Amino acid sequence: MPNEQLTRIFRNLDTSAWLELLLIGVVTVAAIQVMQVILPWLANRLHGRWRYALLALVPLLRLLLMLAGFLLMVPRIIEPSLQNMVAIMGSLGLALGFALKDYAASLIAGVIVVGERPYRNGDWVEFDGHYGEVRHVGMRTVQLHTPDDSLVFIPHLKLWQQAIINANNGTASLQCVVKFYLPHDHDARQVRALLTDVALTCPYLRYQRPIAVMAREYPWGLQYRVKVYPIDPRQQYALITDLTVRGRDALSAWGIGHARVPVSVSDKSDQAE
Amino acid sequence: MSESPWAFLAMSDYQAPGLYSASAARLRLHTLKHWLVNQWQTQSPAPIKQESELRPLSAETLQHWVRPIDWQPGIDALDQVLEPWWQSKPGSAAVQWLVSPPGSRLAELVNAWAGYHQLTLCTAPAPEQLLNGHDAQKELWPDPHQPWVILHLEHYYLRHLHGLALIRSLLNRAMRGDLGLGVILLDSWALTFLRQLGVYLPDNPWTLQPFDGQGLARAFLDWVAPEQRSSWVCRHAASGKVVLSQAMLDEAQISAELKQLAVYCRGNLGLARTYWRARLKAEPEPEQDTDSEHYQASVWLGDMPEPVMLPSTLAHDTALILHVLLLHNGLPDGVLPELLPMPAYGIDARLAELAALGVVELCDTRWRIAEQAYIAVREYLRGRDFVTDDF
Repeated sequence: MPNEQLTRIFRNLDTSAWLELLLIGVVTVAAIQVMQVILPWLANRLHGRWRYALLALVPLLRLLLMLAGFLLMVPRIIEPSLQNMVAIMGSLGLALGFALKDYAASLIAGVIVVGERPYRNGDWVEFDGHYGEVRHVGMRTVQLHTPDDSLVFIPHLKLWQQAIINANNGTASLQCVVKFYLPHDHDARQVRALLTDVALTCPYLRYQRPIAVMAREYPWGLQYRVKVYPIDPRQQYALITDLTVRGRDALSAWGIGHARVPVSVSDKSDQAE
Repeated sequence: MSESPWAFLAMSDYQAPGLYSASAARLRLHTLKHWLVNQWQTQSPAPIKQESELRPLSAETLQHWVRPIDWQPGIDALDQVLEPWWQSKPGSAAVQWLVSPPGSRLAELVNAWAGYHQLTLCTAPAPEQLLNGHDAQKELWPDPHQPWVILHLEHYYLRHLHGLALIRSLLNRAMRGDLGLGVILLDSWALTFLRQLGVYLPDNPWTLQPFDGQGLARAFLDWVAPEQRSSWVCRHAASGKVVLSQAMLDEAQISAELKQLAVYCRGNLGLARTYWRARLKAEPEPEQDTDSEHYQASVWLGDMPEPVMLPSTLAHDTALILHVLLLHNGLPDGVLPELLPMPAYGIDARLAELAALGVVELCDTRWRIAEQAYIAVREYLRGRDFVTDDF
């Protein structure tokens, strides 16, 4: 009986059917590959919101192409009745559930990522202890390009358990924080004005967004945080470097040194251990 | 057609002609339509005059057909808006503000206006004085009891940590009335930058109204030597249609070419003049005596020059150079390394590359954006999310 059932579910695949399936598979894969090359190529020639919009389309289009390929293939392999579909999907689900549990969870999370969009291509995210630009949202993994030029592959599965910090969330607006640590003996108002001017004269600054200089008192001195936005999120390190270098120079020119944090004996012994 | 195109208005009332005032989507649609029409036109009728058959006008002919701008109508227009302030003097704002987009030649007009009224022109400090924190203001400032004029406020600051003190102090003193009565003209990009400084700036400075097709037609015809004006006819080289003549202007007919030029130049008279001069062509016959009374002047209008293209392969740093040049309306050679986080040799290499593309030019030791590249550069920077001017 099971053999009869199987015969009823699956069609007889002759040579032309196999060729059709092969053709659909090849065209689907080729279309995905071409799309995954062309869209990022085009997006990297654009700037601002258009770049992010185009990059975010890649995983969605890939999913649609895969779905289209799947829908074209299924009726050629099985009789597309409700009963047959339930039987096939049930069997497939069981197999994946037991044998490839994590893989399947990553695939499902990958589909959810396309809809929920906690990260998109071009976003700057901190995920699973890694910070970088999302270069590719694959079916199973997300690829992060770190500032150290490393490529980190993180399974979407982590999405279930971990927080994702998205710095620009599909836009070109990304806040950078530059920190300065100063001793107590200085005029805080002057330093605040000086650091604001350092930010104002930075060529990477996005003028459309505000500049904020925040100070916080510590036993060892004051911490200043300059919050600014770069014109392009990819310039964040150039902006931070420029602000750090020029800010340090300006503070030195005013005779303001760096804060010194006293290190206790217990700290030293901790380090020795 | 008697209404003069020379008029000043508040900046908030400035509306660039045609499609540039419409939404970005409409603008893109227009670009696409324009491209499609061009594609179609190139396949249809053969041009009346091939560009290759025509030659640019000689300097002597240009002197007759595109004479230097007569500033008197502009001076009258400026008098008209400044008259109430001028008459009331104390009690009203001590300083009147004018703003101009790059290439508009408004500085020349204000210079002529200052000369006409014998006002004192202020001298801009040298970049070294700005960077050294030298208080040049006291030395350079004219007699505070005399009305004064600043032609290029953008030369009174540098986007450098030490380049902002003078402008802040100057503006505060000017707005308090400590410097007496004065007129300040600044570049539209400088206004964008100065708004970030937290100093007092007027909400709505005066600006020259945009020149639409009709305004350009009047201005272009005014520039033709008066004795030739009635017989002067400009035809489009490709279509043979009359683009500009006295008869056409009298009948209030404005050619599509002039309307398109006004749209492309965003109503900027100076830029339109540059393109007009570059596009005027003549047939290669021996030129007639242009001073003759019976001279029948006929001139051809060539196609718009190929737009300056900024290749996508340009380094990211290039945009920083273009932006800083616009924020200062050009910068002296040697100052750029002080304002950019790039080594001098790197900046020189980029400038050489841009100069070869016709994007920047060195005028009297000052690097600036070439007039024919301005529209392209503005779009390039806008597309990269750089802050732009309001024009």
